[in-house]
Amino acid sequence: MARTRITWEAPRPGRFTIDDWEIDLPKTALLIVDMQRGYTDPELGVGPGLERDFPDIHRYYYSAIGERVLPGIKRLLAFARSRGLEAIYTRTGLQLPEGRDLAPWSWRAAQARSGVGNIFPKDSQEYQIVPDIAPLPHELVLDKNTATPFASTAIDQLLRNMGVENLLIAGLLTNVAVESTARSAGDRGYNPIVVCDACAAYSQAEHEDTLATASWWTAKDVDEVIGIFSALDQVDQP
Amino acid sequence: MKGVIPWQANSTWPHAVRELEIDLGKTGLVMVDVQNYSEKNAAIVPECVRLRDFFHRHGLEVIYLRVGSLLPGRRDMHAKRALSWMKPPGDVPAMVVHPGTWNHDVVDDLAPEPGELVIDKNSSGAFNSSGIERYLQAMGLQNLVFCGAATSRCVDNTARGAADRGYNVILVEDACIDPVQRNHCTTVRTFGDAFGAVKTTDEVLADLGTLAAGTPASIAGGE
Repeated sequence: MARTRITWEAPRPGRFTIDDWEIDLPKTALLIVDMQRGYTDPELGVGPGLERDFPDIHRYYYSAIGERVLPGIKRLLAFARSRGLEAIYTRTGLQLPEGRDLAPWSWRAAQARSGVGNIFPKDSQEYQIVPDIAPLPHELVLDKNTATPFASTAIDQLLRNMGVENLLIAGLLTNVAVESTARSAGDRGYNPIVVCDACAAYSQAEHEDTLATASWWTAKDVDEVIGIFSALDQVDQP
Repeated sequence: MKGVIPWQANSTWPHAVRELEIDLGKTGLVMVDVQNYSEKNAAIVPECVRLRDFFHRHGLEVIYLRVGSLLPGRRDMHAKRALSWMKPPGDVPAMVVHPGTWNHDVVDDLAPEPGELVIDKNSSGAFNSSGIERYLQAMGLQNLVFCGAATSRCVDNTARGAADRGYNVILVEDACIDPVQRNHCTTVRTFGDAFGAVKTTDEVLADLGTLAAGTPASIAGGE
């Protein structure tokens, strides 16, 4: 029962389609992407700037987080822990003061200097993971200064050592860190499943367009994921 | 020649960087998978030729990426890719694309010259399946101009990979092509918001041409 076929990609005109794909259910980790206060608390981080200059984004984005992303991740987290699946967190931000961890000539350093950036220092409250879904002491937290953890952490080596083949990916933003993570995992041969209603972009259009470009990853909602993985036995929580 | 060029000038992204100082001498052109296996690539060849000619004229690096299996039989590819890549529907064999086949060659009009770097990869993103990072570093590159195919797959994956690692990436929208127009537009939008600059071939030649002429706005305008 551990191996199960799941639906994979939608038909592509003129191309062979991988309709379904067999995965080994226990070899799965939940990857919670950048659910930090700077991106989720309207009073902090990107919040005040969005409210002042981009009110439409502000309205859409923070309601999506409150109505589906946070509740979705809470359900996923409780479910994953109850089935013995690893939960792994990423946090993004400046790892050294004044962004000395960024190449000085790079657009990222320019963005960090600009004051309109969306990357916060490691010692700030913006950097902290939302308390409601905080990692437990035995769970892995990866600090990165890039969109995909494959570019600035040892995630590839860690996942291989942990025997993880499948990733349930949830968090922010659908078209930036979530998509970059799903793309780099899928392109390396993992089976990434983006849990779409537990992710948000700055607009519904960007969110949906991103799901439509899925390249070597697939998208499912929280209910579908819980349905598939319910085949796993419950475990005693640590 | 160093100078300031418009960066995410037209982006509506809240975190856009409007202009950026770049060093033309540390700029390379990355030509993604403009190979014989897809006839559709013909549509972007003229723009790619204009870009390549500019880089050659100014003594700048041009790097050619080629996608395919590295080994016949695809046993080097990840399982889903080995099963489906360049395969028509039904019980029809996939196209054979590996080094040594005509399908795998870069199209004639853009054939790499002796002394230019050609990198073979067996996945979408060069950072996932080649040693490109070491080469870019050793060549001293900081800025990369991207053209090629397909916009939402190999170009997007590799360009994101480069932008994420700190390279200043310009994606040349009319020198990239995707079989699905919606996907082309999605990549162009997200990339031009969150990862780098998106420009037309004309804009790239004008911006970089200004730097080559040694009269960038930042110097011409003052000091």
